[in-house]
Amino acid sequence: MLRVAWRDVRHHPVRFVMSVLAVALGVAFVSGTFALRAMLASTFDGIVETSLDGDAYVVADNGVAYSPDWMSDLSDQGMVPDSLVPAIEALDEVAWAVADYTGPVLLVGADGTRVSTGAGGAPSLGMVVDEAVITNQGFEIAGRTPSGQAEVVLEAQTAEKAGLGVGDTTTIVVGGDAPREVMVTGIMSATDGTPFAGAVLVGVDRETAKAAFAPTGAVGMIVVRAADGISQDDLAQAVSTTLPSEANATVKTGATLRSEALASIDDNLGFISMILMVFAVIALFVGAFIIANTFAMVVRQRLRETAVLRSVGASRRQVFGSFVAQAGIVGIIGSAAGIAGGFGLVTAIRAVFEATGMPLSGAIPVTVLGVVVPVVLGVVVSMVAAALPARRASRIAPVEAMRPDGQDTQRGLAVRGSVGTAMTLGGVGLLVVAHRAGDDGGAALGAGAGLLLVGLIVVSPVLAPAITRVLGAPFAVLSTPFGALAQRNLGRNKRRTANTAAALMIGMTLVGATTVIASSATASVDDLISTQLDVDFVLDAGWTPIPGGAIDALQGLEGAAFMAAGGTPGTLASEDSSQRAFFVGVLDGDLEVMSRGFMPPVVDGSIQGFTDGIAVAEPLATRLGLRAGDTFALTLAKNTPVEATVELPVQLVFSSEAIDTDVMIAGETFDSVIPAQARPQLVAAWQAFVIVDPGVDPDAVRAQLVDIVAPYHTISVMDRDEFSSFLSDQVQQVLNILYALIALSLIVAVLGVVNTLALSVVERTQEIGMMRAVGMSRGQLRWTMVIEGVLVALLGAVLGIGAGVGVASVIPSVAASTGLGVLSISWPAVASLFAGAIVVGVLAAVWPAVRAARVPVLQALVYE
Amino acid sequence: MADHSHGADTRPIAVASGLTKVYGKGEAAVHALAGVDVELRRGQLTAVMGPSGSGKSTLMHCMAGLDTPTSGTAWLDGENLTEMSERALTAMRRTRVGFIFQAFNLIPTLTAEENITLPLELAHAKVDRAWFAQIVEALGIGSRLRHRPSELSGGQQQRVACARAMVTRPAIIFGDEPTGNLDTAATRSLLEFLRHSVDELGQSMVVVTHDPVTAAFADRVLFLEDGKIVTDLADPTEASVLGVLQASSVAAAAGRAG
Repeated sequence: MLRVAWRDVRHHPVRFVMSVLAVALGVAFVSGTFALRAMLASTFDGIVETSLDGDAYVVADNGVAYSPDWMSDLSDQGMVPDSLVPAIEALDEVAWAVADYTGPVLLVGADGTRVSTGAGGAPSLGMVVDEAVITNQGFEIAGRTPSGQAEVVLEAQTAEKAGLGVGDTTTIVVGGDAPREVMVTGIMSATDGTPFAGAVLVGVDRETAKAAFAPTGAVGMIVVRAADGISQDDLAQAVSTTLPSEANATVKTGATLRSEALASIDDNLGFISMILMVFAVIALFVGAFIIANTFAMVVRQRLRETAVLRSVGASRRQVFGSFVAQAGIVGIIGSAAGIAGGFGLVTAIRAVFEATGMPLSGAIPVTVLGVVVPVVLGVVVSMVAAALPARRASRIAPVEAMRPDGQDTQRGLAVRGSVGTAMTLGGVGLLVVAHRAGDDGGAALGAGAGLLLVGLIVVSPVLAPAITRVLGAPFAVLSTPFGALAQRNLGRNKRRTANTAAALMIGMTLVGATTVIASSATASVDDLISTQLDVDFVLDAGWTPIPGGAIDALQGLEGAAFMAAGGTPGTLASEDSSQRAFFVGVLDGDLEVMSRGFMPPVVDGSIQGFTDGIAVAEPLATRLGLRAGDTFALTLAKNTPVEATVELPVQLVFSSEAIDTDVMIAGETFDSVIPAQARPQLVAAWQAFVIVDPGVDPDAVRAQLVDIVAPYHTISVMDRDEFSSFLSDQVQQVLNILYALIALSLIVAVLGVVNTLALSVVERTQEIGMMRAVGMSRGQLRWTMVIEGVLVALLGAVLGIGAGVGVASVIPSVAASTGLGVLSISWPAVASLFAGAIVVGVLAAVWPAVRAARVPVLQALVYE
Repeated sequence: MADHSHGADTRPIAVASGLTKVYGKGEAAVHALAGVDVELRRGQLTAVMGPSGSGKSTLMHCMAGLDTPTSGTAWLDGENLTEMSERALTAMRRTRVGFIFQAFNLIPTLTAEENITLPLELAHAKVDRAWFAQIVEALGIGSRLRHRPSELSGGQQQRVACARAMVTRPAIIFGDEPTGNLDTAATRSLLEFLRHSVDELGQSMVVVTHDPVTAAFADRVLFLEDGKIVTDLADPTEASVLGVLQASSVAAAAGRAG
């Protein structure tokens, strides 16, 4: 029986082309995800090994596992004082110990623009580079180490990206300082050649780094090297004896810290690869529809042959096994191609990363997991998809061999129809429940969306004829007889048409939902900003803080008031619990800007005259039972030399999705809690807000602002509308990534349409020949196929976009508290999805139409 | 049966001149047609007979413009088929040729009526309702027009196919074993209709068959063997057709014996 299976695949390869392609695409994505993850992990491992190569580290004793600082917003790690260094260095076990003075640096390249860190979100860091660092931390340098404020060294890849060499001069912005001119005195690189994944690394001398990054002497860590023959554990033991208990510091061995860092990187990569994997699995699921369709047709075409096999003694099990084995062959071929494709994909991704300035290390890893899992997945999906058609084949009675074939017996759809209808309605019901439940509707929304989708897949063969009749009406009227012919061809095999459309529906649901979320997010942001933010300009530096120099320069602004707001993590201590929270306070500028420009809905108290005390967000206030007039204890700058716990009066409780923080601290209170000197290090200024004085021309103010921020390269000046679209763009960027991932399942679904049309050409060869014999031209035949393709695509689009828009319409009711409270369906966008579906249908029909047109007229007359 | 030619047009409806058709190459070459010269008269029913592999179907395909001969020329209604583009051939089939197949070849998704008018729709031509009614009436399928092919008997399906071939008023109709899948009664009623359309409407027709009863309804029978016309029999009867067939099988047996 296996021979029969194999021969059939070999003799009718075209039938299986699309199935193999579908499996290959899905498997390529799965294996690519594994390979990409392994490659990223090895790159980051290399970075961790190179940048964290100390034997012991002194870090804040807060029980938080170490994660590299480019992965967390503001350091959650806490700080230790660099005054601990002399005592540690004095130990016999210690070869050398240094405080880790690192922080953000902005480097301007030879072309006068900021040197970008690439797409990977790598940091732009300043670090100490002196002779001790070069010898002890595995670097080599061409040129010499920097000395004084006006000299830097650059890491080799950074220098290449910046287009700078030894002796060149450029501009840098270190920490919160104003921009300054520097000369490049050397180019350094890791001795072992580790790439830094696009990070921009600028070396300065120790005094410069300390002044910029640790003005209070608080550092993230102290790096310790063991003297010869001392183990890491002994070293850690010895170092810990020097730490005073009030320093809140602890020692971790190099191995421990590195493994914590790697674990945290692995978590992040795991999250990314999980998302990729979800889309890969969706693509494979969509591919399963193609395989099921193909085998349904193969089973029907081999009806006679199967009956003959049965009559010569093949058992049901053998027939079943033969078809499933065929699916296995398809799965293996597809998976093999997919593995190759996956490596190709990763090679391409690596090239793209490298082109955008983020080189990745090493060869593409071939892991057992990365090969076996995708192959098993591909083969299992193929075999499962073929199981139902194979089961039908196994039920063919031997007597069928004697009957003339050609009669298409369509099994009843009554059961399928009613089950599908029930599920669909249940799904809709759950969505309504979710809509009513509001914030608590998440579970109902998920279950409803799932049930709706599955229900639609089940019921689609029943719905398909009616929907295609409506969709095809224009064609039937405008293009007789081709519209009607196409329509009826689709009605001929309802299950296949519905399966094909269902595959497309899945992708279309995702696209439809994403489109609605995108327009709703934009509308929600617009709404929040127009109702809650009344300022004229917003200054923002993207994902980096606004340098202090720029904020100082704002003091000179004429005809307008400004306020710079910044945040820091802290700990909130109530009577019975302590809670980590995020704080925002006014760093500098006019306090009035807050009470005039911010209009959050106030639940309790008043924002008028909010110059003292704190404002608490409603969720936190509810958790802690706080009302206006209460006081509570707050600890800021924990584990730093300026750690302070203060009793603060609650002025108001606000409820706003626009202000993404737990607590706002009024300027005067902030001044008393965190001394000005510690600000640049502890509190980053994320945004500055400007209100133009009455009677002053906003354009004149804007011109001043543009002049002020120009030297910093990263700060943009936005009016309210621009700020609104800036925020929407950030959402849009995330959604664009989603669109790209969804595209994969759409491509597989398009293959499904191609497959269905191509299969129907195979099945209808004789009929096509007859059409041609009675005078249908090739063009007319192709046109009929195109209408079929468009109708299937539109069927998938109607179901999918309907479901997607429906599900997404409920999201704002459920997600209002996260800021996505306004439902907005962009009908032009929805219309463009339908237009896209038409294009997809036409494209999918091209190859089958060409094949159909090539069918010789004589086929009609030759019968087997 | 006497001369049934109508009107003044005495030009032949179809001409084959030195037609050859070779499949394969070298040693394996098969000469399906080995130089056929024949003129088919207008307003006549011509039957083509011959054993399997004699080239009778190939001859019909080449003369109908469905297949291209290896050499030689085929003329249809005064036009040289062998010089025509695919587009011109399509137009030719659509307007001047009708086909009836052994396997009926109706479109399963269309009703009987839609199947009949399909060639006109493909040509974007208007249906001549009077002509349509006349054919349907003559074929006795008036009550079955709204049915799908799967709801019709074999005889009914073939009559629908006939109507489809007639509806465009083609210059000539080609039938490939049109009675091959029909029982005796259905065969007889179909043949009577074909005879009627030749006699009363002046329809030219070529039918490939190996059924002597069908051949006996023709005005002329061409016998093919090994790609050549070996006998050209006018005004055949069942007996004369059988006579030729027997003679040829005797000759074949003798050939094998000798």
